[in-house]
Amino acid sequence: MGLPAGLAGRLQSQRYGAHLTVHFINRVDQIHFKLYASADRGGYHIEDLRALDPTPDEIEAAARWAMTHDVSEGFAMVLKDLLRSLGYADSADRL
Amino acid sequence: MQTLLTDFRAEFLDRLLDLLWRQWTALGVLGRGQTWTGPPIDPDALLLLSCTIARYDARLFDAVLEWLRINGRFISVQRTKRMLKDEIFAGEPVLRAVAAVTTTSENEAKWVRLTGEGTNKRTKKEALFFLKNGASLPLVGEPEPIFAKYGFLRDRFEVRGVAEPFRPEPLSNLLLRLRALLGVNARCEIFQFLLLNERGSPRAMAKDCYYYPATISKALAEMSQSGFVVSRTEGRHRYYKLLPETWRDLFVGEEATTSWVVWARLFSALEQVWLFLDQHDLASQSTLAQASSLRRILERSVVSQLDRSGAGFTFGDYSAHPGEALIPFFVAQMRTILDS
Repeated sequence: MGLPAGLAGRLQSQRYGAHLTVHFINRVDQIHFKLYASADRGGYHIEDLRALDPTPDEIEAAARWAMTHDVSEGFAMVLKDLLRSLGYADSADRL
Repeated sequence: MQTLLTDFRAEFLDRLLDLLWRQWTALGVLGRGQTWTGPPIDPDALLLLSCTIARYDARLFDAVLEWLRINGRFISVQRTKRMLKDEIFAGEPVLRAVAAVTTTSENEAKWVRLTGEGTNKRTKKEALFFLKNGASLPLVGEPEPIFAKYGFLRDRFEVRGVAEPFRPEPLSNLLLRLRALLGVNARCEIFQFLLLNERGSPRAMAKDCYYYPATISKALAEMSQSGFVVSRTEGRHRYYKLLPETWRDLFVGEEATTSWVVWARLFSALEQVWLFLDQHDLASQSTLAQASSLRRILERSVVSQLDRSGAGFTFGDYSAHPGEALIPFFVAQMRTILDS
């Protein structure tokens, strides 16, 4: 349980002036967080997730990670229903 | 059938949402870099358009709900109802739910008038939010009870701290500034009208400001007694103007150039165009049938509303573009409006 595996290695750093460096998380990690938030809270997180346009493999990896954060049956059901409604039925079936 | 018109749907929605974001950002919604710097915003008209268009952007919709909790006392419920009567807006059922959510003990009486309390609630329920492709935004939890009561299904609304009190200094917020100074009443619209138009007749002001003529006439008569508003009769009409000119310098700025836009008229026209583009069966029609349907909505009210909105835009002679030729002309005109 924790951050998606390899997140630190995927950070993209950007310097602003002499004293500020911002580390941006990679698109793949954004998909992980947005899928979890989508299943947990719905609403605009789902719009954000769609804007990231995940591939079936990416969404499946994100779903497996999200299920380590909430191991309940209820969450798994909500997550699978969400994936099906977003057009990822095959990914949902593989979970 | 995929045509220039059906392709334009996505662009039109994005540009409408961008316009809404920029105007709400100017009023105090956080989260977007670009802000509106054009003519003064009409928050009542903006709320009405948002009740239809912000359903395609849940983040914006909820930011508006938050903004209303903080600044809702500066919205004119009475005037909003008048706009609903005078113009064509589809968002009234959503507005009822928004009013019910905004109702607090502090301003209950005012917002309850918009909730349609006492009228029949909608028994048929539909999704409140849509994805940009028109599909319903999936619901993952228990529906928000107040919205569900008004027939709209959505996930729970959470305050995220994405709205703040409006800033009075920007010219875009002039109407809210006047409402904060003078109270939420017709004098604010009269004052703004005279600041931006130099002079006006009670009839023109009543039409453009969405008040009854008697309300405007009475307010102008009283304001004249202050000595800051003077009237002059020309023929059968009486015109009013502000004196002295320093009012404009004080509220608009000496160098500033701005214009009077009747936002409710403009927004109603844009919303009708959107509802036309968003029809589910539009893509199944031939290009000629699409052009024919488009011509009907333009004739019915859209062109007249756009031309009378004061946005400095004339739609032009669309009858010179027969049949399918109307579509590229229409798309070009819409882009011009949204660019300005």
